[in-house]
Amino acid sequence: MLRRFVFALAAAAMAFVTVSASRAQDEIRYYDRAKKTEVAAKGTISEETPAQIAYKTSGGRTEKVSVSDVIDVQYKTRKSLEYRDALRKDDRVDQAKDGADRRKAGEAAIEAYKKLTEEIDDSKLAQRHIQFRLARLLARLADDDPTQLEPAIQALQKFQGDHANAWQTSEAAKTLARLLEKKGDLAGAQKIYAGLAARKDIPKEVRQQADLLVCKALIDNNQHAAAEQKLQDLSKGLPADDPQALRVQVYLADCLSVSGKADDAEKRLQAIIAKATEPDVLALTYNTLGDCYRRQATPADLDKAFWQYLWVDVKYNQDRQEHARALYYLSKLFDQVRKDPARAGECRKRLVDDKQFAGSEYQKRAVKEETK
Amino acid sequence: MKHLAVVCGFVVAWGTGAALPADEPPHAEFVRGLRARHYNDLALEYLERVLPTASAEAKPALLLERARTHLDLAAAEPDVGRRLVKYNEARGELEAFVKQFGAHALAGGASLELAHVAVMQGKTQLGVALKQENPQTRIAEAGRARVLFEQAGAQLQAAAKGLDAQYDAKYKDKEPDTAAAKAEKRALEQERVQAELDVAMNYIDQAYTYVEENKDEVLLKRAEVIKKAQPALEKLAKGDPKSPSTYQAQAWLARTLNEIGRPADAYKMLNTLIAEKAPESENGKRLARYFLMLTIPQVPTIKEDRTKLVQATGEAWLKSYPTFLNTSEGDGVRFTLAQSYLGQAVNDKGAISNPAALNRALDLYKQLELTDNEYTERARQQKIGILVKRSGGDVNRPISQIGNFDDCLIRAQMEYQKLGEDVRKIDDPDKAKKVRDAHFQNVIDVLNQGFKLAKSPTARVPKADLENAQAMLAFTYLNKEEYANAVKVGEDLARSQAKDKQAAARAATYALEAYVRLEGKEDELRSLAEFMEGAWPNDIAGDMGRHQLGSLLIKEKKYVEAVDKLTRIKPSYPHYTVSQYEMALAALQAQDEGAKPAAPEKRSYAELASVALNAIPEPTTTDPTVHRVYVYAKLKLGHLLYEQKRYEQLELVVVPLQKKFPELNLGSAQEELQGGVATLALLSAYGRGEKEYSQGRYGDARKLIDPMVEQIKADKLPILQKSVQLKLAILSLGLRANVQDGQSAKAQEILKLIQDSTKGNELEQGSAAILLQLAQSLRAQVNELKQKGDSAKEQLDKTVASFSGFLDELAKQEKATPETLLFLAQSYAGLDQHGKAAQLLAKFPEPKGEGDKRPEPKQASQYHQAKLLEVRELRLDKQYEQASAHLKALRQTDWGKATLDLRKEEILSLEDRELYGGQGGAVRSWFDFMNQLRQNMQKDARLKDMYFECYYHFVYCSYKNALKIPDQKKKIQALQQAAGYIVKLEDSQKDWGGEVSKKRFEELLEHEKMLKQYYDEQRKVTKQN
Repeated sequence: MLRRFVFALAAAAMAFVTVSASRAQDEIRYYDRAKKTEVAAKGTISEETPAQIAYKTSGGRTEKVSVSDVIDVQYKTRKSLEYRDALRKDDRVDQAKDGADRRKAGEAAIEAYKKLTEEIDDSKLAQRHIQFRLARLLARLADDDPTQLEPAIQALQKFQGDHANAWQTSEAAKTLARLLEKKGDLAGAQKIYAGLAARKDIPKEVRQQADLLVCKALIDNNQHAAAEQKLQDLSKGLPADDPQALRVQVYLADCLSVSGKADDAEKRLQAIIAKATEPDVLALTYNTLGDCYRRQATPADLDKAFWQYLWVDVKYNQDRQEHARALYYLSKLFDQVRKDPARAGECRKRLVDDKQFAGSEYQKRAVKEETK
Repeated sequence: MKHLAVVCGFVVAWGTGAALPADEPPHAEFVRGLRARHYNDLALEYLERVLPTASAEAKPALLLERARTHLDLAAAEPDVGRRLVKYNEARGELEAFVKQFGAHALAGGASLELAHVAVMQGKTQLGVALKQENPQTRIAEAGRARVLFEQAGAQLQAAAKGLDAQYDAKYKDKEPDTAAAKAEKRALEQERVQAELDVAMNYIDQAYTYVEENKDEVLLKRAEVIKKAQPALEKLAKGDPKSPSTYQAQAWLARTLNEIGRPADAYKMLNTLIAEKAPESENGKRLARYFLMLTIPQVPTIKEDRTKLVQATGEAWLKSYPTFLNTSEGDGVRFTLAQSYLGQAVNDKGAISNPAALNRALDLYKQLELTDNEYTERARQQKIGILVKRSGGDVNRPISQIGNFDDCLIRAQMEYQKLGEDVRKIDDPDKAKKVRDAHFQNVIDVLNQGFKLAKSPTARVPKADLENAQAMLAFTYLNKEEYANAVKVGEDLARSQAKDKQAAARAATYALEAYVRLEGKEDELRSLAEFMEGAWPNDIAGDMGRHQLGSLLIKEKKYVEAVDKLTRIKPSYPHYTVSQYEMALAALQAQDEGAKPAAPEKRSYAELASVALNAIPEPTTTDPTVHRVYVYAKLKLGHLLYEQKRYEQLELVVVPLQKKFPELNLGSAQEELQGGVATLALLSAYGRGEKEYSQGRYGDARKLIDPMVEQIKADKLPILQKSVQLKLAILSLGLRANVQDGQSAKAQEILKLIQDSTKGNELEQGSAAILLQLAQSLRAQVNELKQKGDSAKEQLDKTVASFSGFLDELAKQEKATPETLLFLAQSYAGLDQHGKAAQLLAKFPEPKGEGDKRPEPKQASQYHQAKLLEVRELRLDKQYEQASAHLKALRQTDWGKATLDLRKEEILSLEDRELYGGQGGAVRSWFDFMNQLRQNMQKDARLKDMYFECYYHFVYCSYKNALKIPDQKKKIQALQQAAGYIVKLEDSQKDWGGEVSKKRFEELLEHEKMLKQYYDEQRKVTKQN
């Protein structure tokens, strides 16, 4: 009996130690590509670079996460309760039921972040992250309210100026470029993308993505010739068997599509589908072909578009961004073309609820439309 | 439960990805993905789109996927009749696949799918059983489902073994070395796992057929069967975490734990599975969330409110899986949820304590009631219960006191419910009718009162509710045999701008049926039927209109139009069986009239009839008319297949029909139809036997026929007493097959059976005909083998030996009848055993007339035939002197004097002895005989044939005689002359005197090279001229 009591005390003490230890750790939420889901890992962050975050687990093992996969970080700080509260308030912005509610939630989150910035004094990393989250929140609000555009740009520029080597730098740069594009400063946006693409200290895939984002920005702003020229330049430096070379070809086809040469674009994209083997490239190609048909907007073309997105959802769903894009359009086309609101709703629900799409552009769009 | 969605979500590239041409997308994988998402309609649409242009490598996988998609669609079909039709179609597709791609790597998977069809059919039957209100009927129907599941289990095990064998043969001792082979190996492994899972789950299916849940021994039996599934499920549940089957096995294992009284373990296991994050676990998780609802109430240790937990789990399921709503899983979730809400809604005293919960239960029951599923009937009962509870539930309240429309409608429904209860207690049909009519009258009264009350300005009754009530009133008038009222109420609503289209459609069907029963209303009937076809083209009402129009067209003998009309009826129509039978009969009539279906239909009317009869599903109702028509249809189909000599297909009709027959309710037609089925079974075996015989597989023919012969011998086939022709045909085939297979004793036995069966009756000639047929067929066969030369010598010797053995045995009979003697002689002649033939013919008795009278002409004719044959056989046996003596004697008789055949025999004897030249030689004799024939040959075709036969012999003998001439110059002249006769014939008779004559000369020229040379020379000269 006595022995059992002693053991119980020991167990209780161990539990206390464990809880304390867990409280004193950083938490890194990231997308696990192998498991295709979000993972929350706890440990002590030992290194942060523009390419990755390294952390030590409680077992002493060092793990590394590419910045491309990081969703968010909660740094250990004495103000952890306030820290969590601010993040919760930030999350509410996306859960708001309408624009007014969103503005209200945004104001509350900004206030919480500002207060926290003043209060946190035990972790520079946490302070920096709060600055990043605040800038990102402003950018989010600027989507609804153009008057917020300038403050958001300034906040992001300041962040980039203060923390050029932070792990958040790629994300901050892309957000900044997007806002500049929205503002009409295409040159500014391009400069940011180009700078990102030229950095050697960020992951290759982010650099390649930045290259393509430059072109995408040109396409979206109807500068097809410039986009085409830029893509041609890019393709010259790439070996034929590099998947990036095929991605460039897809973007070139997209240029054709938006400039009204849908037939040529279709042929090129079909040819890429016939020879590509990388699921990511295939997903991009099918989605782009879907966009190409969708732009033509006849019932027959919309039906063709539907099947392209379906290929991505069903077969080439390894890239979460492309998968999210496909689901977004499927949620529309199931309704419009197939007159099947149940399946449209199901696609929307997967896009909004599935953690693998957390933070993706198309999830944000879907959430925003839902709350409108 | 939809547990057969094979390897859902698991991407395998078997026969597709790795083996496809580089530029062809992995269509089959895409389709599998669509199916895993439950997008079966899209999968089918995609397949139909790509199949026509798919490569030969891709096609097998796509065809198999198409069959699988059809199977999935069938399983999701809410209507039982339509579901069964779809299963049959899927089965046909899979069978065709196995037949076409038997050696393909996918064949094992296809066999497994075929077993799945059987499982699905079992599930459908179980669904039918669970819908039964009467406990005894439910138990009986569930027993039928068990039999189907047991049969399916055997098929699954066979398919699993087949897959194991396929795997061992390819990969047991060998690692695959190409990407395609690796993919194939992986897919085979998956198929094996799936097969193992299916076998285990088949036990669970079997267990659910033990529906008498209030009996301990039944529950024990159920648990015992469930336990059989556990070892395999335990093994599979620990399987590959990348395989969806592993998680499905975990879910089912948990379910079995709950079933055998370990709910806490089941609860824990299900929650662990639900927390699983692997994408492959999705299907298993979906199952687990449903099973959790069933498990929660059994786990007392759960601290939360278990009712609310069940409801939260169920509501979350419905929200998460909207596309699985109309699956059996979705039905189960909704029913469990509805039951939970109902339990919550009513307190211990039976009063409504939670109206919101009651409303939700009512909503769910209504959803379930809309489709045909295993919960439909129970949901309907619960719904009525709720409505009754809401209304206060007093069925004895005077109708005049009911004060609003809603209560009137509910009272009408209660009357129907009470009617069912009351009638079940009464055995006397007259009393039952009185009770029924009283309830019907109450329904009529209460509904009419409801309509009056609804007219009040304050009533505000929804239009749809009024229309439903009107449809119910029409139905009640129909049941009460007040047809004119039924027509009036029903047709008014049908032709109105009804808000509730379904109520209007129902009313139309009642009115139409009332018209059918009212005499002399054909024009009105046609008018309403046409209206229904136009108003509800895709509904049962539209099909009912088509059916009546089709029947009217048949009555008017407009068969083509009738076929066109009846073909458009869909399988969901309750009288589909009857309509398709009528359609098939009309199609056969159209065929008899020489009609051909309009393009693009390429099939004939007879083929359309076969297809329609084949598509008629097994009855799913207890209606004796449907049962009878089902049997008539299959019998008709069987006879058509027999006429078309499609014996294998015939067997596929007969076997299921025989199996199903004892379950059918055929009333007074039972005996007649039983005879029909028995005859069809005999025809099937006989047809297959005839086919084996015609292909030279005599042993196989015997295997099919001998058992029937034994039954005939033991008088165990009474049906043949009515069908003696079939009996003779079976015995004849048995005789031929046994003779050919060297079974002399058995053949003798059969011959005796034939003679005994026909002796002294009108079939006596049939007996002789059988023997003649045997002799002729064997002679033809011997000749054919002889012509094939050395390559067929072994077969020839065997045939001659078998036949001789039989004949020798037969010849030993002391009292051989004249028919037997003649048969024996002809047969020996066919085998070139002429001496034996002549010997037997010498014994042929001369017929004597009674007293001074002449013998019967038939007997006399047979005798003369025998004597002529005797002379021929003596000649062919080179007994020329005896032959001459016989000829001489015969020529003295009246018959002999008038018979040209005897003269021909005389000259043939000269020819055989090579006595060609001179006045009495063969050349001269043929010439004279020809002159004799020429005089009458224009009047008698037989003489014409004989003339050209003589001409041939004349040429032949002239040629042979020329060869004997020693003087070279004269010899050449004679040879030229002989060849000249041929040229002359050819020039004067374009067809050389007929086909047989031409063939004779062609063969002569082929064998006699010198004659051919002279013929060619002369031909050349005549052409130049």
